[in-house]
Amino acid sequence: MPNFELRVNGGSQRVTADPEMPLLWVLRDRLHLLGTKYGCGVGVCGACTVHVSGRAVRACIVTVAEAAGREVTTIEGLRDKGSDRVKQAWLDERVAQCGYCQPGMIMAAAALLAEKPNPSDAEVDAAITNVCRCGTYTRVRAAIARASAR
Amino acid sequence: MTEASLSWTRRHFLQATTLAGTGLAFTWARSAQAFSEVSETLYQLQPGPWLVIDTNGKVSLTVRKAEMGQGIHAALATMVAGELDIVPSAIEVRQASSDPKYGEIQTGGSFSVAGNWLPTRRAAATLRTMLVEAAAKLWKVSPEECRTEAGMVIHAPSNRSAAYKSLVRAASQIPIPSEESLQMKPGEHFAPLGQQGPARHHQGIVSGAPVYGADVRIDGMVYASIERAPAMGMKVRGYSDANARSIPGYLGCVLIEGNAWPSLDHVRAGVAVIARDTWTAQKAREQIKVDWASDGSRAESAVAVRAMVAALDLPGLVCREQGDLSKPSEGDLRRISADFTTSYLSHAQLEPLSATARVTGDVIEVWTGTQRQRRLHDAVVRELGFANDKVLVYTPLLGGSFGRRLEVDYGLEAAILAKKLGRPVQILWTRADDFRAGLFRSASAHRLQGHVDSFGRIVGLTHKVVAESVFKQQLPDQLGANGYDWSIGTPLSTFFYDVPNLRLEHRTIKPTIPCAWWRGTYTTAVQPIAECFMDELAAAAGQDPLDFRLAHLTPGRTSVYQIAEGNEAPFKTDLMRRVLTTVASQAGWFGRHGRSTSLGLAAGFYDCPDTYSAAIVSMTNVNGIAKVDRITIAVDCGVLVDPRGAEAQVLSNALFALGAALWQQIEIEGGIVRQRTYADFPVPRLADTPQIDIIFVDSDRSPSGLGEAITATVIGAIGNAHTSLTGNPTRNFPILPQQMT
Repeated sequence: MPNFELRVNGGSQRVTADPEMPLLWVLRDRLHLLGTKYGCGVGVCGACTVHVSGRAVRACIVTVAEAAGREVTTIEGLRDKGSDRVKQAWLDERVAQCGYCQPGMIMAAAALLAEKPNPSDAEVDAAITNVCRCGTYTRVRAAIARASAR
Repeated sequence: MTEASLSWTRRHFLQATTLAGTGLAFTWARSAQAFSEVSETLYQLQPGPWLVIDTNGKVSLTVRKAEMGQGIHAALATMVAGELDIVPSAIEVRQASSDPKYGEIQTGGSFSVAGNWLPTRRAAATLRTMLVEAAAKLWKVSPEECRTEAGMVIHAPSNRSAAYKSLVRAASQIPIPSEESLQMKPGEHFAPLGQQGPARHHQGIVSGAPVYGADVRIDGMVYASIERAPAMGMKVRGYSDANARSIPGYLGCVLIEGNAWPSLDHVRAGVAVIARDTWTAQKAREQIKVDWASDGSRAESAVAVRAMVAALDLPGLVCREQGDLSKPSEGDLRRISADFTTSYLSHAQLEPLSATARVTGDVIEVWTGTQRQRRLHDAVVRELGFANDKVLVYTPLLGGSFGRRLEVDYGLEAAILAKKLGRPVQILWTRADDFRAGLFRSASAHRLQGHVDSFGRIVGLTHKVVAESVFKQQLPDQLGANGYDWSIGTPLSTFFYDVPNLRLEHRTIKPTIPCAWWRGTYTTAVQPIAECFMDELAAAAGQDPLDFRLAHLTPGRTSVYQIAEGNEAPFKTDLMRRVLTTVASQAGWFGRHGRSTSLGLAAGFYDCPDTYSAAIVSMTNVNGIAKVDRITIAVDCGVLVDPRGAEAQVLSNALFALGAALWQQIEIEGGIVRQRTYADFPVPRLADTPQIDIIFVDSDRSPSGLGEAITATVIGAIGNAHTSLTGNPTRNFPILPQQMT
């Protein structure tokens, strides 16, 4: 099996894997970064959202071959000024219920705010398509507003 | 479902503990002091089974309630914090294992806050009393002159204070106070504590730290993905893994024979594909060829619903009856009759089912997100032959549940595999597995008939419901001698309007499709449909739906409804009237005519033990698509323990109701579930989320539950809003199955 150079959360690691192996499973089962969650495996629910080259992507439909050599950030490595504000807003608004979708939701929100610091309601609706079965959406909106207002 | 409230007898309470090794492995010793050595420098005081304080001042609470997003760990921590005068986030919440010493462990029925309100506070007040008495003894003052604040005992007259941790040793010499002598804090004392920072496990969520079922890692574990019988009743005749053998990391297959259905703890037949990681197991599974033997049964959801509708013509089992429906009444009677149906529904919790198991000698351990640790424990004993004291079920966080994890099929699968493989194994269901091998909220058929007189009063009403019975499928001994199912009967029996002549009845059909508890289960069909029919009756009477409801909730009436055998639900019309009038004034009900939006109103009562709610839904026609743009909910659930957590639960109920009322259905054709992904079973997204306004009315009643208490109310209000928008009475849920998001 081929070798891949993965740049995850500021570090660099070599992984031997099937080139088709989704980034999600490389993160979880090879690199032991368990904050990225499996929800559907077909890119619908967004629980596995990570950043690849700064953009929010669904790690279950990105292969390790596609991610190799690019900058990958997971919830564990989400540590910059803007992202800290997002996390604090999440805590202040007490967004999470079961919490399972929340890493993906936070990754999606952080990517949105990095690109558009003051998104309109329509832009938030369009960017945050993650599924939350608990129904935290009104607080997700409030947290994004809180993180963007400053 | 209600459950026995958490009660510890005085005898149990006096049993002390010693902490042996790490975490959960402690044993009860009847004669030991309630004080024990953890290490040479660390001691702990545990004046009961649940609460511990150590000489570092750390407070730990062992709970028998699983955290699945309902916020129960934060609520229980708030109860302890309130009694101890510390902040909730300072308390470490530990989940009890299935060790028999903890007794029955299950989470359900929206009963956790109500059931723990007294015992948890008692445990904390006991500890506080001992710490105060220890300080008073030390200072030679009266305990009555001392108070507690911010983790300290304070004696203001002498200007002295002592941190709890400095009092732990001395408190161990204080006799455990009697329950009757405890001074408890008043109900309103707790709510402000919820504002003091986020719940403890939330802090980890923003960095991805919390451990859910599939995050459990055990040395030497392998991963399994199971190809299950596509239709209920199929068995494995044979299988071939020839095409999988070349896949690096593929380790082999294990047959799961499966057991009979219907039965308690049904496990489907299947072939478990074992690999070194999850993805390889899933990939190899695609290459396994299984030869399925059918038992000839081919469940069809449409056929099951037709059978329910047909059964509406047959007599039902009476849940509640009063007056005489055969007696003709005075006045100009308007009689209306309507049939309704609801669909099968999936839980669709976001975290797919998973479990990890390890067999070491004659001991088996299972780690899985479950609402019923003891049910799984007992199933492992019964199905796999382990001794009762050789089984331990540990519970990580649950990534949602909504009743799905009251079932233990997936935990049993892991246990079966661990025993067969002889090494630790983790199973993870795919999303498609979750739909295809799901257990569902039953579909149902309803017939309602009502008579209103010329004064606009309901003279007579009948409501007959036909559904599949979870008990009939799993626990037939819960049924009455005549087949009466109290879980279907309860939402009928708690019909709360004044109607002199009333008959409420149910029937169940022969089991065809696996059913389970679901957020509110039968209440989410019975109550919304009764509320839709109330609007039809109001229209027949020419009355406003709110006025009509209030006219049938005579002020000052208290009723006690018979629910589960020997249990009663108290109901007060004044509390229902208050949530109805509150929601009406908040949602602009009175000035609604002439606006572009259409409003729908519904009331709800849930026996957990007594949560009252009323909702108004505003709907608009956006380019031919009915869209919910605002939901207003008034709730009376007694004293609020953790207001932000309570509000989150009401929001959650509202979003759960939105999907169920409008779009969601499970369809089974030829025994196979058609839905595979969230695209087939639409769960509301952010863009679908309306404005949601929640009003908790002030109350000093003991707290009542919320987890599943409001879902039915909002479904009913959506039904009535759609009727109001289109002019066509809502007769089926989901209302718009063809309209996907």
